[in-house]
Amino acid sequence: MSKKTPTSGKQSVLSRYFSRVESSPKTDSAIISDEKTPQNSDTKRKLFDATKDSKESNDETTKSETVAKKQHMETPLEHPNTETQLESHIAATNIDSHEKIVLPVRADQSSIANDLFSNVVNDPKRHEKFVKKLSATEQTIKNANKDQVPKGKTTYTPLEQQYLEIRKKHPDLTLFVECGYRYRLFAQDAENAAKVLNIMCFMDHNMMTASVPTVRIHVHVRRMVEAGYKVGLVRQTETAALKAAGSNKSSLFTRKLDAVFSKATLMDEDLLDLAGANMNELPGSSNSDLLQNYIVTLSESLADNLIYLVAVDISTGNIVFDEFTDDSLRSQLESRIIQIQPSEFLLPSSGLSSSTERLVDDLRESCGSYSIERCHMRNYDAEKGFSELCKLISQELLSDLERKRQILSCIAALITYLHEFGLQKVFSLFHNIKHLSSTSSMSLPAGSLLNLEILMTNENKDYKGSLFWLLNHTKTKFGARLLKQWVMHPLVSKDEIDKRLDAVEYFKSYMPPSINSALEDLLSSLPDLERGLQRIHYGKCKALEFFVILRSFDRIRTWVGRFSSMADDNKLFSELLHDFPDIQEMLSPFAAHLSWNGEGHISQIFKGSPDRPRIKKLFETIDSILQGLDDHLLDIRKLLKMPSLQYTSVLSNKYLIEVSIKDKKVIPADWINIGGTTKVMRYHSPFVAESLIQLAQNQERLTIECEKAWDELVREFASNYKCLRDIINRIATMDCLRSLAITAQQPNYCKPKIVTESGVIQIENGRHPLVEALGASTYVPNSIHFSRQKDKEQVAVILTGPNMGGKSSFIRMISLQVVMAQIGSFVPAESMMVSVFDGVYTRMGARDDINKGLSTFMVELTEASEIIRKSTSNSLVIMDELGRGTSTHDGTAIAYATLEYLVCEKKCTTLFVTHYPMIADLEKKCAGIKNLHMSYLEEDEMELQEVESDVPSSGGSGNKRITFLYKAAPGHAERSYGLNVARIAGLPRAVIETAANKAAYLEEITSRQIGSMQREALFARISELISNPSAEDSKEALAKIQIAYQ
Amino acid sequence: MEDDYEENETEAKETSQPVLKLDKKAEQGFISFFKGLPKSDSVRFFDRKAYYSVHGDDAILIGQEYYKTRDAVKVLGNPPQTLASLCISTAMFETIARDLLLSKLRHIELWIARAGSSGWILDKKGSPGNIQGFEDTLFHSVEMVETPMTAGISIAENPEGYNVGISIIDQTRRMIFVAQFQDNNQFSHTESSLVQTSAKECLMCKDEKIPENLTTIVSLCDITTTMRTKLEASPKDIEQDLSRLTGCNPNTIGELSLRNAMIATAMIIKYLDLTGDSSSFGKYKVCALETGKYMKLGGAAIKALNFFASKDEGKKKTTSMYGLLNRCKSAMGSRLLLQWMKQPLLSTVDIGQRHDIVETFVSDVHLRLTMQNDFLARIPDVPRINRKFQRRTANLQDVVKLYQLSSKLVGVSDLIGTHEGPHPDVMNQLFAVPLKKAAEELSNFEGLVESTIDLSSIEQHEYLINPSFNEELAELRTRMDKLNKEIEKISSKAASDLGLDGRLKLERNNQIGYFFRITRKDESVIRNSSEYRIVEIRKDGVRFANSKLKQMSAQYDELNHEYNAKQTEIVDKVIEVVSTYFPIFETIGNCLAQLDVLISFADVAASAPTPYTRPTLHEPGEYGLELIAARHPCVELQDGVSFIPNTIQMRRGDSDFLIITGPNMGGKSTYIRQIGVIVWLAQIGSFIPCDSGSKLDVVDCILARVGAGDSQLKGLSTFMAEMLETSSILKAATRNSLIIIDELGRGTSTYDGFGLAWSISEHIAKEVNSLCLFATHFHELTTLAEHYSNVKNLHVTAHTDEKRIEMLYQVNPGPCEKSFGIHVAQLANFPKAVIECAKRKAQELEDFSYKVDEDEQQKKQKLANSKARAEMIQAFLQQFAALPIDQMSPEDAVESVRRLHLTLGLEPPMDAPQIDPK
Repeated sequence: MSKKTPTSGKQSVLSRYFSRVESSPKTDSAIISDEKTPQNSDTKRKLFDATKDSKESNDETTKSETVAKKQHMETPLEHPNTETQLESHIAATNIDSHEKIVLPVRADQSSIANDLFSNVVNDPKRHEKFVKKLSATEQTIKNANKDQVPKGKTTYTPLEQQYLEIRKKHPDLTLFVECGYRYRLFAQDAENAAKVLNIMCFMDHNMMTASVPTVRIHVHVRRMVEAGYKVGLVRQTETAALKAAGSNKSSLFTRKLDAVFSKATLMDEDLLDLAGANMNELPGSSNSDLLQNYIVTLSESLADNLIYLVAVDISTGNIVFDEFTDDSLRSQLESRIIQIQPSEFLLPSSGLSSSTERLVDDLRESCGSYSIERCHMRNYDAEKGFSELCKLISQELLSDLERKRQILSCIAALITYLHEFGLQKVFSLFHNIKHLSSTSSMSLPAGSLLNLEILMTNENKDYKGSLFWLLNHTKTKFGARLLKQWVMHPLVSKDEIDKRLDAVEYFKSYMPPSINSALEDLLSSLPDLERGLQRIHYGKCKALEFFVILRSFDRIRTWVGRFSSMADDNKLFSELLHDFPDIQEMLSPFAAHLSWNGEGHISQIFKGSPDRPRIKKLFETIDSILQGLDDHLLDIRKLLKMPSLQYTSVLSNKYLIEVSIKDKKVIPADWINIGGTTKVMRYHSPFVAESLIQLAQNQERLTIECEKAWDELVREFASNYKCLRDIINRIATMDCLRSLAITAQQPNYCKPKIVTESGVIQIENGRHPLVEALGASTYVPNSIHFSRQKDKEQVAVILTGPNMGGKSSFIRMISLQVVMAQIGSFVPAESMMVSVFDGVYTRMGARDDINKGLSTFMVELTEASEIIRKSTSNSLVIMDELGRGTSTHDGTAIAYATLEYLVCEKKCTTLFVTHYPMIADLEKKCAGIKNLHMSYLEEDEMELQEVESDVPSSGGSGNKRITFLYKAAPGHAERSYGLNVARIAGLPRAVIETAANKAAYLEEITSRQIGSMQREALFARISELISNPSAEDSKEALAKIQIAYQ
Repeated sequence: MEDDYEENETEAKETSQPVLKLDKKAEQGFISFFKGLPKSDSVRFFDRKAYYSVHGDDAILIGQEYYKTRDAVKVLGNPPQTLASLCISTAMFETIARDLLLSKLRHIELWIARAGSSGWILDKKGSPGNIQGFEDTLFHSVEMVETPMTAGISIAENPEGYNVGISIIDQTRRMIFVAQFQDNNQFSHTESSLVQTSAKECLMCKDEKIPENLTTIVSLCDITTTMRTKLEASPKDIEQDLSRLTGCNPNTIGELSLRNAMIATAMIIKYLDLTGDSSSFGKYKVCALETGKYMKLGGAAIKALNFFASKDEGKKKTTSMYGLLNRCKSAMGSRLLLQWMKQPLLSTVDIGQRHDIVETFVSDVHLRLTMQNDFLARIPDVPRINRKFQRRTANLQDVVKLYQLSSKLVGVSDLIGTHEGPHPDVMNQLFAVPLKKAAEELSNFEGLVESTIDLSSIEQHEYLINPSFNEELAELRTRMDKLNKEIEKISSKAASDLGLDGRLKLERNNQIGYFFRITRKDESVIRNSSEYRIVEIRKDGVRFANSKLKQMSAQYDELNHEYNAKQTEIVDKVIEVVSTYFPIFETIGNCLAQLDVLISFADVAASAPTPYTRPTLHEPGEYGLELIAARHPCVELQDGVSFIPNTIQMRRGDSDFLIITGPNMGGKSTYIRQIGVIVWLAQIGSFIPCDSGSKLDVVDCILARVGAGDSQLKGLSTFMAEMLETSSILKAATRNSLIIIDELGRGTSTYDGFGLAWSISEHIAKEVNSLCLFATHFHELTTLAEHYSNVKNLHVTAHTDEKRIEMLYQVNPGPCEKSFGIHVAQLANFPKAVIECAKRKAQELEDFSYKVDEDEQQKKQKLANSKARAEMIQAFLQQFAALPIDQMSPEDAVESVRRLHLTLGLEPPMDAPQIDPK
């Protein structure tokens, strides 16, 4: 063979081994001749022989083959006693299986089997057939799975063709196609759905297909969307009866894409379910219900790191925008994304910096797993955005925005995108637009939201255990959403906080129980009005839903009417009830139908309406058909001579003429037999049959007319949007206040006192609200006193102490209480006095990701730097072990410099947790800095001494315990007991001894260093003083130094 | 109970969610029954025949987790007695139960209606380690990846630590592994045993004093702990149970003498109720748990080596070793890979063999692709089918699947056998020969299948017996065919009688048998006929028959029934015969799984950005290691990372302890982890991401202490966890181990942290002599190299200038000259004032501490200078303090201080710290 052949030979061998079905017989034979084997030797046995290249044996086999084939074809093979064969076969194996060694089975068995099956084993033709067939099956399945069109001419069914046409227009959608009472999926969609929905998919005609029943479509759509698919619903545009009457009666139903859903644009269809159920009563539930359907888009100016953001919540109609300069880590953007918790991103296909792209990609997992859609850069067109907006709203509303070209271009992209879903109308609610980072609320950056577990716990990303969980006792979903806003944006105006706190107090203690319980009843009965209103606005709301919402507003009306006069005791509460929009007027056009409960047809609403002539006409037609049927009965009675005959109905068949079986001969031949039992037969006369068709057609026409009328009605109601929205907001506010009042009712909660001076936090015996609520048995309360007053000035606290001593819990407790107070909530403490802080900034914990090439330290420092820059003298700053990611010197230096800067320059209220002994020294330097430590007890004096003298315990390991008191005490902790922990952990004694020596050595050096540094400083000061011209001053200063030194 | 609900008929299809309908009384009854159940952590499922239901918290959990909407949860009953309720279709149950057991590690219970009366009884329980009862339900449509196993541990404290008895039962392979050994109080041996065997659930006895750290270790390995009572852990019946399970005389089971191991075994046998399944009697084998054959890996090492992606990291494949390596085409391959990952080999010969095969497949792309795409991608899950045969749940389809496999074996074995690669012997010995032998032994099996299976029915995905196989069947078939012909005759006669040629249809269904069908319009033709009787009237037409047809149809049904019965009988026999081929298929399965994994290794090696190479392996302790241009296999694949390879040398006695210092973003962690990963990769048989010529010792274990793994959930502070891990490393390490330590001593005060870092590294360098990589931020630690000759310093560098810092990711010899912390701060955009202050502060600190980079002379000089200066200042201050300043006039006071100052002869420091001496 030439050099080339090995590969080609190999290939051919391979393809034959695996019996590829696509290789046609011709190539097969070519391969075989290449291998110098006879043509019909495509069998396993032949392969053995082929290597030997013995022609003779091949010929023999061929002969035996033909013989076998003949036998097989002509008569069924003789199997004199198959059963006994099998039995003996089994017997042989059973003997073997008793033995532990497994291999002998084969030897014995094969010898026996050889005898028994000799005539069948050597049937190569059949073998060939089997191998071919089985791999063919495999192959078709494979093809089908890959959604390949099988080779050759494929004749698609009309439905398949219809599907393919729609598919071509919408390649990115998962299409659910309405087919009667089921929705069907095809090809790849079917397979995806099979996986996600756990349904069967199978090959039908040319494509894989799967289906779901129409009644459950919304659940399935939701699950597909949750799994990340964009779903399109293809609905039938004709109805059965009208189509049968039309010219195209034998053709396919026409269908068209009717609705598209993605994560953000899917709104709960089942709005009415669990209306008003209290979230806290359902254990283990998360706040996923409250996730708003924000869809976010960005544009970026690469030159100056300016980012523009527009986000719109489809389900509530809220729109926010923002523009900001960001750092290289995009921390600004990150905190906004965490705040918004988008369910979908719309990004331009180009033009974003890689750092932005990366952040959006990275956050996807940790932030509610949003989906990302791309759209072309050309959609980001400010001109177009402006003109589109002008179409939706009046121009004067846009005056502010006109200059913000980038924002407008984002809006343009969103409008284009939402057009596909038919939701661009959301922008007509432009009065809902807000600037995201407004100065009217406390700044809680992403880090703080996460570290303080405001919205979810760090451990499991759970709702339970978060601050929001603690405060949320709302009864309505829109109330819960508002509360979430409150929690994320605590207030910064003393007046507003006081007003809210007073209202909470009023709800808690002074509100007349009658109002309170009536309010509770009202709230519990309300569905998600906010979303409902939105659906009405989009014209996507169903009739039943609509009336439920109307009735809810009516209930609100009644409640307000009853109590509005009684609410003067509290300012905020009476404000909420004052000038309540006139619901009655808005509801008046619908008053007649308010009690409609969804039973019967929607057309009933319009039946009596005089101003809808077409509907009236249709009703008349239907009536006349019904009348005709009644008249016809008289004729039939005469014809059949059965004077008391009545129409009967069985299942869905109506107007049946039922005769007993013995009478069936009187039935004319042209009547249609509809069915019967052993005793009776039922028929339709031709007239009845025709009338029923007419009836069905007219009823369908009526439905179409009524739907049109219905749309008008809904649009009319939707024109009250602004007013209705106001009502919802008021009710939501009441729900939130009530919710905070319920939190406040817990034992030992107090109303915080808000003071005007800055930098005050005075907490007496405060407890960690979340730890307490999660049921920690013994929580040790702690107090803290920050103040800027001269005599007891305390701006910053340096917190030291052993690990596990409760440092983190302590600092979290303080910051949570501050946040709670500014939300307007009561706090778990004996008493609390607090200033209004403009922000809570935290730097805690370590986030490290080796795969992203960003080290802990960089993240840590970037966050710290951000805090240093943003904080003001009215901020609360929390730093936990800053600098621990680098070498000791650098770490100490950075921590030292940062704390000094925060206190001396920025004058922030600061909580600083550290292990660096040198930092504690700052207490002596700055008056505002105090040392605290988490106190602890040791088991006994002896051991204490041992530790003090740094001689490791000579006793057995692990018998030495520190008891943590979890109480903050003044002064800094002398030691952090690292060695003790090491001993408990069971490190060898020798190792601990060395460690103690080395630690002492380093400490000695350090303390010498500190001493030297202090002396160096004194020396410098003295040197300076002696060159001072005013001897008087110098002397005084020198005397002071002397005293200090002594 | 059955009558208490009815199914909503319109929604009975598998696609829809069923609805639970109970009448008022039954509803209240159920609610109080459910509320009366004892509290349990298990999720309780109620089998309602066509679907399942869950209630209460479980319903809410499942609604939330799996249906993504609470709409699915309905409320039963009226207040105050209400109960959340959720119905689950059978298909969904499969997914949910599987996820609960395997991913969420929950226990589940299945309740069924009590037969004959009302009420419910517990049918079966499942737990992560015991899914046997649910296996059929759970893996109906999905391949099972890992076989969960249950472990039992029983311990006895003694002066030296603990005597640990451990037992692990593999229900699929029917093996009982037992071992009993002395372990330290860090339970390092126990941990590695659990890790190696991939146990999912661990039983312990409540009444034994279980040390807290044992449960911690177990949970850190992601194993559920289930506590059992003393009664359930009694070894009283163990002798009898084992002899029943193994079918051996108890005297021959040597392991019975291991008391603790037997307690553990008894615990599992009771827990899994193995003795309740008589079909498995005599099938079990007891073996010693051989952990010594494999490298030891603790839970910490597995995390450090990034075996599996953590939950936060998302599902990108390349972030975990399993994701990277798993290119297996078959489920059994993936399973074996998981096993191999936890059991790296120790013998250079065995490893070499694996490398040989990987080399073969790396060198021949064509062979590799052919094997993967044309063969391995299409093989059935043999062990799973085998298990079905064992449990007698197999059907003809399984037989056909095995046949499909069998028919390809010769081809494959020839392909491998005739392949001219670098290592034909190994290929032959491991694969070609065994496969060929198996194929030969299967020729009878093939014959059996070919003669019994009806090929033509397979097209319709029906698996039937070929009628010609059995004369009775054949005869029945002939009779049925004959009958068919007659029925057709009747039909054509009826058609012509009624004048409905072409419009009369002959049809058959299971309820009615044969019948005629005509449209409703044509019905009048037979309306008054006495011969034909209407059977059914439907929208699609009128179904009717005459007496002759009825009679024939009945005959046909009878024959059909007989035929089916006969067929079932033969199917059973065939399956019984096929199950005797179990050992052969087991061998084949093993062979192919290995092949799959090794080809997967080859694929990974060949498709990496820089192809992996084959390392040279040395016996433990012989050489050290030398990795040329090593990379981290996962990190190099991340987007936007251009990985800088590093060469590393660790020579025994010369540089077996490496201290790595340097700036934090410089890739210290990646560097030390990558070495661990490479050593591990080499020992599981994969090629390594290094250039050729790399050499390494086989190590007996990889011990790791990396990352600030703060597991507050487990009640441990960072530092305590760190110390526990370190302590366990020191106990487990030998001269032949590889130790990786990253940033030790961080969670405590600087003094203690440094002290511990020093003493621990000294201990390892001096006493243990393992290969060790120690990344630290204590630059003071670098002086250790001056004390011990086998300690060497390495550092990662960065290039800095005024405005920026550029990481070079290059590792160079020697300690790091400076720390770049402040530079990073600068980079992180700290305010200038803070940076200045920090620089000054760092300068001060620096002056007093060791400075290793300067030459010895200079260093001493500088130290002496500063020391002298410090002493002088101190002396000055003392004299100053002694001055009676109070009694002097201002001028005198200043003057005397000035004089004192002059005598001292010191200049005030230029960069005097600006401290306000209050």
